Amino acid sequence: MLPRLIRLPAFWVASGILLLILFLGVFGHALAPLDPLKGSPAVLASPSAAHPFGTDYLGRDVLSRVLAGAPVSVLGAVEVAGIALVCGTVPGLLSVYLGRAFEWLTLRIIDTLIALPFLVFAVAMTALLGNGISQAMLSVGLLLAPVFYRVSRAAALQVSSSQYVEAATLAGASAAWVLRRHILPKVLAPLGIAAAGAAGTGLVIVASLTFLGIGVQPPAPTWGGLLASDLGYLDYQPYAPAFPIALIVLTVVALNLLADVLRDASGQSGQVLLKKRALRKAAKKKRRVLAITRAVQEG
Amino acid sequence: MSADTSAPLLDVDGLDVFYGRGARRKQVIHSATFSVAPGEVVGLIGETGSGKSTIARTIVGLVPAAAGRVSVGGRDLTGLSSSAWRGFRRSGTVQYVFQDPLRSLDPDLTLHDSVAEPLLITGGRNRTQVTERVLAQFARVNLDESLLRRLPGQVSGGQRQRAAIARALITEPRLLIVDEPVSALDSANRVQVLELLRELAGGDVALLFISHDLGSVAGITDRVIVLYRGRVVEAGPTSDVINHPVHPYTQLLVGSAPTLTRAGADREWRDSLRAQLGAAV
Amino acid sequence: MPETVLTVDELTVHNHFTDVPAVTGVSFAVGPGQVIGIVGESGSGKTITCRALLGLLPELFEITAGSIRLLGRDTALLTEKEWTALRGSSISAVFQDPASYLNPSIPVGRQLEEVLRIKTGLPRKAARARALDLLTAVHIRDAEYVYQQFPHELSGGMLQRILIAIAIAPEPAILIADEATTALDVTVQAEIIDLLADLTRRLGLALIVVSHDLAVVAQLCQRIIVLRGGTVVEQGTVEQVLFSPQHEYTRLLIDEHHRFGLDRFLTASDRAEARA
Repeated sequence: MLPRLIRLPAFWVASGILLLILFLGVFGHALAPLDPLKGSPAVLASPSAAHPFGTDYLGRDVLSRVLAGAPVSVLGAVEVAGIALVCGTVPGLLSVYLGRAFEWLTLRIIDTLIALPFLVFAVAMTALLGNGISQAMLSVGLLLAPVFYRVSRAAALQVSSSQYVEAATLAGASAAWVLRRHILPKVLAPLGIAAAGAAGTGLVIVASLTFLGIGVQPPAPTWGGLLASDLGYLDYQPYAPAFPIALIVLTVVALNLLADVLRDASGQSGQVLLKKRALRKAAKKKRRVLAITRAVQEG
Repeated sequence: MSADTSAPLLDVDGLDVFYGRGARRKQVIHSATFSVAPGEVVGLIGETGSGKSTIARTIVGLVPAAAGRVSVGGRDLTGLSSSAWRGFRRSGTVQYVFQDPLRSLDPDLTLHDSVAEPLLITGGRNRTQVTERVLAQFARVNLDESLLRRLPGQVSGGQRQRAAIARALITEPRLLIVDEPVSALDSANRVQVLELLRELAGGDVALLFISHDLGSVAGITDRVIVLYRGRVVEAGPTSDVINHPVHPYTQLLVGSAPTLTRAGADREWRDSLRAQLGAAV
Repeated sequence: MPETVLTVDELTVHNHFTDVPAVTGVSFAVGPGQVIGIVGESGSGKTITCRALLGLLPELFEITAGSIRLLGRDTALLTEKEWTALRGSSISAVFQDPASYLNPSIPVGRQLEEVLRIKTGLPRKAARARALDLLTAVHIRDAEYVYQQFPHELSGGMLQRILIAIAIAPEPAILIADEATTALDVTVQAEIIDLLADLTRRLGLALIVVSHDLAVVAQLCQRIIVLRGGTVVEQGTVEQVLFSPQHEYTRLLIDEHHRFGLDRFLTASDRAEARA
């Protein structure tokens, strides 16, 4: 899959953006030029040399706030995807092997989780467990687990009923061997795609939660929190809310693009797609060469 | 092809097998009895639904026997626990070759890894030893060394099936069950694989050849067992069964197989055989 | 009636996906009531040839040379609409896995009826009657009963007969049987071969039988073409090909039957004894 992947330009675009975002997520605090919490008399100023993103209603530098707010949002999204991956994949794979009772139980739990609405559940969980971003992440991660459950279970089911697994069983393989040797490698690609999608969803939900003031309290900056506090001043100064929005949208678009590209590159359809593109390019070239030779002959 | 008539390698006695549960329980094998001597090549012939694959799967423990007995090398395999089965399978005494190598080989594992799998499962060898054994089997089935690191999708059907046979041989089995091994292959590949199996048959591996087509196995088998609707209807040396078939179904089988020297038996005769079958079993 | 139903002249099809020709310089002709066999393995180009004849080449395959004339018309000039009209009524086909060509949720009789109504414009009742006739014509004994069955309730041989009925319903001039018996048991295969022979005799149907099994082809055909790697390596009457093969590949195929098939066991007298 890798050689096909690197030939698609979308892969480079998506990866580039995501690496940048991740960088901000890790080093955001250190990169902020000014103290994100420090106010100044220059309220609602437009972008300038001193304040490249302008200032908000308290004169705080927007750029610094956006950068300082990145870790919570970005790492929160990664945490969500991680929790969802573990909580979904493990029962998903085991449900194929641990017998009908376990299968039934996990399916019903997953059904319940699917039915719960994200924000309400997250709010309830933070009320129960305390108002911290980790608690909120945990609840969102749990609610996203069903996707990973279904993906890993579907892959495991398909593989476990295949003939090569039967052949391995006839050679004396245990269930653990089959899982490790045959199922896991085939589950990785769909899981990767699901993880990209989950991270995107996670980011939006973190932003929504912090917008509502859940998890992280102001004045600590988060992208959602910035939106909440600055949205009211949209008429006066659009830059403060615009930048966090732009970053959220950009990240989610990049994640979805990555998921699409992974899907395209794996499987036969990816090969046909690439071949068709190559043929179109070749046909275009041929036409151009013909046009030039014709022009030369006539001219 | 020495046949040691003292103790059969595979002994199937009065085997009954059922499918389904409760109201939908159906008997698919009725009192099947036959045996395979060490080093013998036996063909188990039957149409789709006759139960030939079911018998094979029961012998290797994938399907439970409702009544009767299956024993290999003197050991009674009926009613073994799953851990006992695992132990028996790891001994590699009985091996199985499936019909379609495209399905029986993991598409993401190299041929080397697939062939090595039975050894890796039992463990206790280092990498070099394993690869040595794999290479030995490759040579035995006439597979070139260069194919060691290829994926199943990158080689021909014949090469795939030979890799599957290599995988089955690597544990030095005494009984090899081959299920329609060449029906998924084309002519050139078929000849290669059949030749290979014929060579193996000359050694001390017993072969149980499962097929719907008498014509495809007649050149290799010492004895033929004909299965019809879950019952053994005829058994005997290959040339006897082909030249003097007794049961109407056997006659139909022989009469249906297309050969080059003459067109198939005429339709009326075949229809009358079918009518007889409808009345009988 | 035209002398030949189908004339293929130096057909060449290029595979743009692998950038290798799939079929090169294939030529043959079939007249009404004649049966021609194409023998080859997968990758020999036999399936691509059949699809070219039906105007159903997959994406990235293109006819780069040669011509196909069906009932006197050059098929390269046909539009998609004209092709749709031709398929079924002039040229028809049955393939290897019968179950995958039928809708699993509709009784088979209704599917046959549907083809009749679309292709011949018959009203409902007449179409039903004709469908039952067709089922009997393909040697199905209890046509009324089978009419109401769903595909999963019928055996492979039965399904293939129904597909043959569907294929001949609009009375095509030529039928292609592409590995039509390969997935069937040998006893059922014999029935289908009988059926096809019967249909060519009774209806004057031209028939192209494609198979990897030389013996199957030998049962039915007057002429045989052997394909290998996209080119014709042997061509001639059945007697010529079977008894004086020119190419080593043909000899390999014949040899296989002699070494592993029933040929080595049976002689004419043995056959007579087997009947007794």
